[in-house]
Amino acid sequence: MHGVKREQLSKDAKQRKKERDAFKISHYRQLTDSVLADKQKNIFNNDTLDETSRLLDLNPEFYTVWNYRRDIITNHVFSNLKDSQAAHTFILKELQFVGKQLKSYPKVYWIWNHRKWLIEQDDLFDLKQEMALIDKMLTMDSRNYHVWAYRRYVVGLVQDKMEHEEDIILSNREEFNYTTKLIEENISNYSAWHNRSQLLQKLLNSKTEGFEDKYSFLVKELSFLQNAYYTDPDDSAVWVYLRWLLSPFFLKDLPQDKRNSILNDQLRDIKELNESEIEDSGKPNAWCLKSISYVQKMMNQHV
Amino acid sequence: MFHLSQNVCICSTIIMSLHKELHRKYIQELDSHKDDYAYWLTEHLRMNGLYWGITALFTLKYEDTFNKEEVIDFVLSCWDDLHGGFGAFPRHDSHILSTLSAVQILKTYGQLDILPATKRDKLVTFVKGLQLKDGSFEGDRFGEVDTRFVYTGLSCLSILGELTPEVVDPAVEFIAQCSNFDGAYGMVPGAESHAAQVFVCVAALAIANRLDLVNKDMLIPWLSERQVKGGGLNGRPEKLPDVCYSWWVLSSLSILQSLYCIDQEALRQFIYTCQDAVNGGISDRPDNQTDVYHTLFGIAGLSLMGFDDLEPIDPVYCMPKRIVLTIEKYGRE
Repeated sequence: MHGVKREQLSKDAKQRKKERDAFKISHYRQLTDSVLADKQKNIFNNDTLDETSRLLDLNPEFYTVWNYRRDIITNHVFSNLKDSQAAHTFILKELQFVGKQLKSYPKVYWIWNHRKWLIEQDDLFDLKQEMALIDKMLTMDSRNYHVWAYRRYVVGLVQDKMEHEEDIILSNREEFNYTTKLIEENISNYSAWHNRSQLLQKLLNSKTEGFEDKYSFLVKELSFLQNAYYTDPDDSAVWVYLRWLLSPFFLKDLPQDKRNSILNDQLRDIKELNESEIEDSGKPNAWCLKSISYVQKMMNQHV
Repeated sequence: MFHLSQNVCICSTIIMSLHKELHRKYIQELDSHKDDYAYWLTEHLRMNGLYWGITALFTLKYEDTFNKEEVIDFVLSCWDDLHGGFGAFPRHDSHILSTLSAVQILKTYGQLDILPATKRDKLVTFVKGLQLKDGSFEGDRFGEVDTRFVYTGLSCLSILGELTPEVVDPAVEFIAQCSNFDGAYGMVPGAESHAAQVFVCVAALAIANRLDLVNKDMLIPWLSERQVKGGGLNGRPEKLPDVCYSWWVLSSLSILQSLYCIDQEALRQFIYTCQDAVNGGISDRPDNQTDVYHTLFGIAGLSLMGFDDLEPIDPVYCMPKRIVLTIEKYGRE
């Protein structure tokens, strides 16, 4: 139970809830009994499919019923369809059912799992269309762990179908620009910073324009990051990302003078930011202090 | 050093206490709410719920609260002979999560031998059969992959004494691929770091005796930074604190022998303020609805920190330490 307020019901309210619940319980138990009995008998038909819809509407976490539903789809629906176009039409309808569920329960693993299974069954599925749903869901909650995982999964499927390396690079660039957009909207979006770190490694490997040279890229990225930490020096996401940019992953390939200049500049800027924090609030900023000590550690490592 | 927790303020110096007796009563009565709709809506979590409740009771040193025979009978009634594992409730399908909970409950009560050899063999085949070529595990036959299931698979096979290099080596390789720029771990390769996924990955590596693969310089600071104002821990940067991270974060730090990196007194206060002082139970945040999951992870966190005279809990298996001592350690002389 996450984020639900505790309530102390009065005796009367408790009684009323009990009466309301009694009706719901009897309906739910009857439906559950019927579905599980049909499941045990391997009954795969339109009626049992509808039955699972009704039960999953009441309880989208009932994984056994999702399993049964997939068995019905495989053994009844698909086996009675004449071609992949018919399967495609069915799956679109099924995705609407799942979409409605996701609107109410955007964090239920089992629903996401079913969606993935569905699009894997459909040879004609338009993956780009799926990106629209993902964009919309990230607008509603830009940190939803499931949506981000699903986004990377769908992008992966899209890229699997690409024949040319340049198309894959372009797709990674688009995803990278998407993280820039989200970070500009909200620098605290650690999910976006994370995805940026993933894409960055791919783009650096591909040596594509703007990413050919680690040093010039790093200078640019640090200035982007600096805007963020000046905006909100208490934001943890930014500082964790900074730690990575100044880690051996980037620094090890740079010549000594460039490495030193990057670390010296950062040290100066963070110290300056900390001074202004002291002026404003009377005390140093903990993240600045940590980062200063980190930069100093990196400087010593490379002497 | 980077391990010092920051931004922590103990808002009140009042030391509250753990309402042990109330929590015992709360857990004991969980199975009597049959007139509550939510009781029926959570059948699919019953085996896990039972494991959470029993582990909380053992940690509170109230291990005789439940009738052992009834518990074992319930566990055995969830056996799913078609797939060869345990479901969360009678007639529910086998899943790796409910299967681990069942095995943990049987082990905790010293009743693993109650499984006849045929079922035990089937169960080992079921769990091993869920491992995919890349070393990951799926939760059941429908292909959902998650580092949670890698931990679950390894923990289960380890309790049963069935780990082999054929299972462990690819699993370790898969986990290594799930580490990120911040030194922490995600659900699958490429997925964002999350404290609960850190626990499953670090604990799985501990079971595999491969903690050498952890990037401690990055991970330990990241874990310590999960502590926020008010003393609670969050699961990802810039998220709200939640009692369950008292387990996911602390157990990881404990496995890495770095519990000193957080302000334990402040966390203790945060857990105390999430208790329901009237009806017992612990919630995710103060004044929210309690549940058995947060009740266990609050109590387990306190046990890891050594507070309240609790039964010591093992950070890898989330079971009483003295029971874990009887599990054969993999890959160690």
